[in-house]
Parts: sequence; C-alpha cells; structure tokens
Amino acid sequence: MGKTILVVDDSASVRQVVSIALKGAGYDVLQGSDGVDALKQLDGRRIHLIISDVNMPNMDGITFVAEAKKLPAYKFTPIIMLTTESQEDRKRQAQVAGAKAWVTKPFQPEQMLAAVSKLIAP
Amino acid sequence: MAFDDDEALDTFITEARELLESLEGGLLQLEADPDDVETINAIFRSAHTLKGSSGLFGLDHLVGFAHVMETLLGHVREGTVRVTPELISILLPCADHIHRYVEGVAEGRIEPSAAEVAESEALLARLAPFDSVAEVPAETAAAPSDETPEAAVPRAWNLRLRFGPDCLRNGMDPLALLRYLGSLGTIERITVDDSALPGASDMDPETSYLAFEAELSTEAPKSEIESVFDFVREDSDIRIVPRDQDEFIGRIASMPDRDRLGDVLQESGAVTPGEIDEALRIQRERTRAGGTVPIGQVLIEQGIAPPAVVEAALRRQLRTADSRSSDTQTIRIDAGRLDRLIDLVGELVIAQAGVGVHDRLSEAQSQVTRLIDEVRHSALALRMVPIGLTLRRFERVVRDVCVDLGKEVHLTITGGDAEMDKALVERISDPLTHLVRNSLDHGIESPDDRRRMGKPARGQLRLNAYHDAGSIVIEVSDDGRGLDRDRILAKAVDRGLVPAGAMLTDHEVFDLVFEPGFSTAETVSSLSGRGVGMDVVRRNVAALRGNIEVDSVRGQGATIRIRLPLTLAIIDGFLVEVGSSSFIVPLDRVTECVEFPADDRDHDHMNLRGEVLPFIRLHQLFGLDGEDARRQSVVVVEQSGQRTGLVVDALLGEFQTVIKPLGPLFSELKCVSGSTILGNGDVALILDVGPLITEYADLERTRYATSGYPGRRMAATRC
Amino acid sequence: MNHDTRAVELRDELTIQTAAVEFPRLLAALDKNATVRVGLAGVTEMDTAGLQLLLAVRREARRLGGDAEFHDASDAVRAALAIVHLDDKLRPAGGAG
Repeated sequence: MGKTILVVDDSASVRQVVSIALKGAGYDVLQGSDGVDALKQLDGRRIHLIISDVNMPNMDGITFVAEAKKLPAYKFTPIIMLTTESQEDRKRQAQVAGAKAWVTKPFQPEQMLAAVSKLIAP
Repeated sequence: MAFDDDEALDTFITEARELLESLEGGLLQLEADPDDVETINAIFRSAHTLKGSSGLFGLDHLVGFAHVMETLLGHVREGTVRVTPELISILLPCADHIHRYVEGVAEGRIEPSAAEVAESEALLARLAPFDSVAEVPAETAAAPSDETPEAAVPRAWNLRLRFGPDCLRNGMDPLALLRYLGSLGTIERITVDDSALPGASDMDPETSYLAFEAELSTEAPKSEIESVFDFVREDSDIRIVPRDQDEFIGRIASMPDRDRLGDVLQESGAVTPGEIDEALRIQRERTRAGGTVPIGQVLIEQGIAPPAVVEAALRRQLRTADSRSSDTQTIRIDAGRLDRLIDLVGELVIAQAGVGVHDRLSEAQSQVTRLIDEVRHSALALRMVPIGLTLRRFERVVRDVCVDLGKEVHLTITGGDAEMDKALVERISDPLTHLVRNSLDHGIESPDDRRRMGKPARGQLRLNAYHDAGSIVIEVSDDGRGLDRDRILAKAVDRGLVPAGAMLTDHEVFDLVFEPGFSTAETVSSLSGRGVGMDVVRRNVAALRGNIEVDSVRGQGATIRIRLPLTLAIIDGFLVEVGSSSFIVPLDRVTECVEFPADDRDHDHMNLRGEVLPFIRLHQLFGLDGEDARRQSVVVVEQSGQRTGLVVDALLGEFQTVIKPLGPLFSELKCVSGSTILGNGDVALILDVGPLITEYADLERTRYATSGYPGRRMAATRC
Repeated sequence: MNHDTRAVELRDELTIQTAAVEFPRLLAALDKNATVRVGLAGVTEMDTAGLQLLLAVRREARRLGGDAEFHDASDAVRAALAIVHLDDKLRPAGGAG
C-alpha cells in the first residue's frame, strides 16, 4: 500500500512534475494549490508526508504548516519545505513552524525523490 | 538534465504565460502605485514560481535569469530597493525577454540562442545597479561533494548514530533514514542500542531513545553518507569513521603540502567540512571557557576522526611547515623580476639577431630563432591581463553619471577577455574614464531630447576591445548626437587652427577635437568640464605609443577608437644611422622614407609631393661630431596628424627593439624614450617622436624670436 | 513460578501517531512473571517509534520476571525490522545472540 504525500505549490507544473516523479517511485500523491486549498485536502486523511512551497497566494507555506501541525492527525507528519538559498530567515521560520526537512529550489525531480525517501518508504 | 514529460512541459508553458501576464500587469500597476504591497508580493511570487518550475525542466537559462529578478524583487518586497519608474522600465523588458524565451521553449528550443544570451546579459547588467546584492544564480544541481575526488572503490565505514530526543515528534524516522542509508551501499552489520530506554513508567513513547551502530560498505564519499542525516543533524550525534584507517593515513602521507590540519583531513576524505566546522565550534567554546585545545584533540575526543588518522595529518602538516611552497595555481611575482626576465629575453633576441646576420643557413640556428621567439612571446604573456576588469569598472561610472545627469544609458561591454600589458591597462584607465564621461555628458542626449528625435529614451554606450594586427583596439561608442562637423570647423577657424575656407575631410575635422584647448560643449557640466580636454587624452594615449581617432555620424553617435601596442616592452623599430651613432624610430610612427633632396640642404623644410615638410637634422639636434654624409635620407614620421622629416645619414631597416628604460639621470630628457642594445653590442637611443615634433616646433618659434640655434639648445636641454 | 500467558493483538499503525495510545495499552497487559504474546499480523505500518515501543515492552516484561513474545509479523513489520537486521521475533538476524 503506497504512502500518501500531499504536494502543495501554486505552480501547477511543479506539482505535476513532482507528482509524476513520486508516483513513479510508488507513492500516492494529493495536490494543493495554496495553503487554504491544502488544508482542505488534509480533511483528516492519513497523509504520510507533506511537501510545501513557502511563497503562495491566499495562505503561505509557513502559515499552512503551522495550521496543519495544530491538527492532531498531522502533529507528527514530516514536512519538506521548498526553500530558496536567499530565504534563510524563511527557512528558520519554517523550522519553527514544524518543517524540519527542506529542498532548495530550483531542484531536479531526483533530488526531491532523495529527500522524500530519507523520510518515508514508499 | 531536463524532466522529460511533454504533458508537464505543456503545463509549464501555459503556466509561464499566465505568470508573465500577471507579472507584466503587476509591473504596470506598480508604476501607477509604487507602494502597493499586494502587487509587489504578487510580482515577486510570479518570478519565484517561474524560477522554481523552470528548474524542474532544466531550463537553466531561465532559472538564472529569474533568480536575479526574484532576488531583486525580494529586496523590493523587503523595502530595501525602491520602486521607481526606472526600475519598472527595466523589469518590463526582462519580462519580455522571458516571454520570448518561453515561446522558444514551446517551439522546442531549450537552449537560448546567442542573441538571447546576449540580451539576458545586457538586461542583467542593467538590473545589477539597482541591487548590489544581486548575485550569480545559485547552482542548479546539488553536487554532494566535488571537493573530495575519490576513486570509486567500496570502503567500509563505522557509523554511530544517536538521534535527538525530538526527532520522532518532528516526523523524522530513523528507520527511514537507515533504509535510505542502505541505498548508498551495503549495511554489513547494524545493531540497535536500547540501553538509553528508561523504565516503562518514565518513558515517553514519543521521545526517541534508540541509538544505532552500523557498518556500511559504500563507494560514496563520506560527505554523501553524512548528507543522509542532513535533516536531523542539528539535534543528533552522528559519527562516521573509516574502518580502514591505513588507507587514509597513506593518502594523507602522499598529499601535497597543506597548511591546516582541517584541510589535510578534509582532503583525505576522512572528515567532512561540516565535521571540521563542528570541531572548530567546540574548540571555540572550550577556548572561551578558558582552556585552549588543539583541533586535533577535539576531533579525537568527539570521535570524529580516529587518533591514527589525526596523527598522520599532524605529521603531514609539520612536513608542510618545513618545506613550504604554497599556492600551486597562481604565483605572485614581483613585477621587477618579471621585467628583468623580459629584459634578459630581449637581450637574447638581440644577441641572436647578431648571430643570425652571420649565419642564416644553419638549420639549428633557425630552430634557435624560432625558440627564442616563442620564449619572448611567453615571457611577454606573463605581463598580459584581460582588460575586462578595467572595462567593467565603468558599469558603476555609467550608473553614477546617469543618476547625476538624469540620463538613461545602457552600457554594453564586449571583448573583455582581450589581453594587454598590465602596465598599459593601468595607464589607459584614466583616458578611458574621460572618454566615457564625455560620451555620457556630451554625446548621449537627455531622454526627452532623444524621444523628440525619435530615438529610444535609453541611450546605448558600448565599450569594445579587440586585438588587431598586433595592437589592441579599445572603442568607446555611443548612439548620441555625434560630432557637429560644422561647429567644430567654425571653432577651429575661430581659433586659427585652420584657415577659413579650408577643405577638410570628416576625419581631419574630427581630429581637431584633440587639439589643445578645443571644446565645443556649450555648457560645462560638473563631470567633464574639468579643464582636461581631449588633447590630454590624446597625449596620454600617445605616451603609450598609441593613437586615437573618432568616427561619427551626426545625430547617430560617435565611436572613439584607441589603438595601443600590446606591450610597452618591445617595439618594432626602424634603425637609422647618424654619423657613427644609431637611433631607433618606432616603426609605427614612420610613414615613409625619401631621399634628402640636395637642393633643400640649406632650408629647414622640403617639398614632399607638393607639401611643405619641416625636417629636423638629427646630426645637429644631438650635436654629433663629424660631417653629414654625402647622400642623406629623410625619415618621415607622423604623430597626431603632424608630420616631420628626420634627416639621417643611413637607413638600416626594421629592427625588433627591446626597450631598456633610461636611468634616473636622464629622466628629464625629452626626445628619447629609451635605449636598446644592438646586435654588435652598440647602444642605440630610441627616439620619442611626439615630443620631438612638439619640442622642435617650440624651438622653431623661439628661434624666430631670438635667432638662437635650435640644435644646440636642444642638446643643452638634454641633461 | 506462576507462568501466566496472555495475548495481545496489535493492528493498523504502530507509529509515532499511535505510540502514545498503544504503549499504555501494552503495558497494561503485562504482569509479574507473565509472558505476553504480541500478535503483529494486523500491523500495517511501523516506524522507529513502533520498534522502540516493542523493545520497551519486552524489557519491561522481563523486568517483571516474564517475557514478551512477538509472532506473526506482517510484511510491513518485517520490512521495518529488516532495516536494522532484526528478525520477526525482534532478535538480531543471523542467529547469534
């Protein structure tokens, strides 16, 4: 049974590429286009890992992570934040909010896959 | 390495178009309302998203470009960069650039065309002044460890892993990390250490108590093993130690010299940069607490490196201290020593030239000739540096001057990798600065004027350098108003430089701007009007044995071209004889040689194809003994448009001349720029044509006034 | 010596998500000198928290003079244990020890 990953990014192409890569490795994938949408996607579902961008309209990634971590079902869910080199302070904020893993944008699909498989098996 | 999925690429292109549309819309809106935070955020996000998604498709060109935009917009968002119409007017073409590139990708062109690359460089150069923090785009691919190149042989490592108590709560699962670790190679052995588990009543099932010891055999370097634990490193205690220490000890022993223990260990692959940092941090803490500990001891105590490896590294470090010969890549050499070498090579060239005269047949000799020539070239190359660094300094000059003058100018620099003598680079910088300021000040019009004339509001300034026939040419061109031929001519007539009604070619007219005290600018601005005119520029250039010329089309711009020799150390000379002395005339100053007409012997000028050519008798000028030769020749030299004949006894032909500077005793001497040694061991003076012509002209004037004797006076001023 | 044997079945997740609930439940099944047989057939997922929990239960059982025995490990459990070279009875794989 594949484990489920929620991919949150306002870029449809990023979501699509990441999804294709993750599905190829045997994971199930859900997508969210921003923080608000992602919170809707959670909906009490068992999610094994969340990958979230930081900069998004409506609700940014850091707020989303903080909100998700408040829900008992996602208290311990590992979170990979998509950061950029120039956002060291945002990375720290994300860590405080509960995202302990990160992938630096821009990234290659295989880099994402490596980060994911350090955290959960398919 | 692009992600290969057509459908996803289609999504990307559609998305990129939308993002660009909103980016453009946002920029326009921002122009109307520069403080609109929402719009600023939206624009930033567009650039950010573009960068992120283009990276996934390996569109490195776009990643790099969007990165600079994103960084700049990030600073706008933080308020450190202000939104100005100028900023918007540069960001808009940036968006256009991305748009064109994306459309290219849609047609299957992933690699940007040369034109696109040039355009992006130009745009980025324009963005740069707005944001001094803007940097080179981040590396796309994560190369885990390229600084420790190691042969891919499996190696055994002992790992001791104690994860932080909160790692489980943070969603970090050691089992998942260990599983991933196994993908690097083979986990030969692994044990779970549960000794830290407290009694059941004290245990918090969400706290991590387990530790692991593993033996991993892998081809991956240590840094890659270490990177498995990146996400948990902060709270965890991760130790990775090579099992086979002999291999590292051997590698350390055979390593080139290194000053620092950390470098030795790091290079051996036994310790990673991160571990060195950690050890240094611990060392600092200890020092603060009062006790100084050597870094090696910290490394051993912390279990980062085995004692035997640290000891080997210490021995290596000691050996380095004994026989230090640092820096293998570049060597800093005292310029004087380099000059001495070039000087010696020069003498070799000369000595060889002497031999060559006597024995041209020997094959070995021609071999030596060729080799000496090569040696000379490579010796000269030691002094060569690219001119780019000097040219790039003008980015700042252009920016600052534009702000001062309220002009918009885009600077393009090409040919920055052309090389020239370091001494020349340093000395050409001031004349260039003057020309650039002149272009900005007088050449390029204000944006309003430009618009009125149907030109783009933003002016173009171009610095270009290239090698041409043994010289380096540096061009400063602008698309400004150009030179006003009629006004220059009128002024020249006004100043008595040209007779009224003279028919001059464009070139001759434009050359007049280099005349002393000539300035056509009606208003003197704070920048250029410093009393330093184009005449000084020409004099500076001439002092470097170069020349300068202007091309211009009225209303369309001007190009000023400086031509310089590649080096100051060797020139092509023309050897002449006067009495028993030899002189060298720089060949590039010689226009022709003619026979000295017998009937002009009593004059100080002669008729050269219908023109009056003044001449200087070197015999008299230098007060040489002996009679004039029966048949004399005139070497016609030209400098800055002025022609003069030099009367000599014999023409000995071209001669490659190594310039030996004159000693300080002769520093006041004007008409001689140096000396050289001839093949037969004699010394020849090198004539400095510029001062020779001007000095002589001055003397002529004095002569008319006082009836003095020019030759003697000149000789008297020599010492 | 009173050799009491009890049985407990674990099912679904045995992870950080469920550890706080499962741990007291397992501890409650322990008693002096009792052997607890823990069935793992229904476990669909196990992580380090789950492993740690089983190890802690076994230690506690032994401290009380009894033992904890694990049986019928599901594939998910076997896969997790295999990472750290433990067999399905949570003994070091390879037999030694």
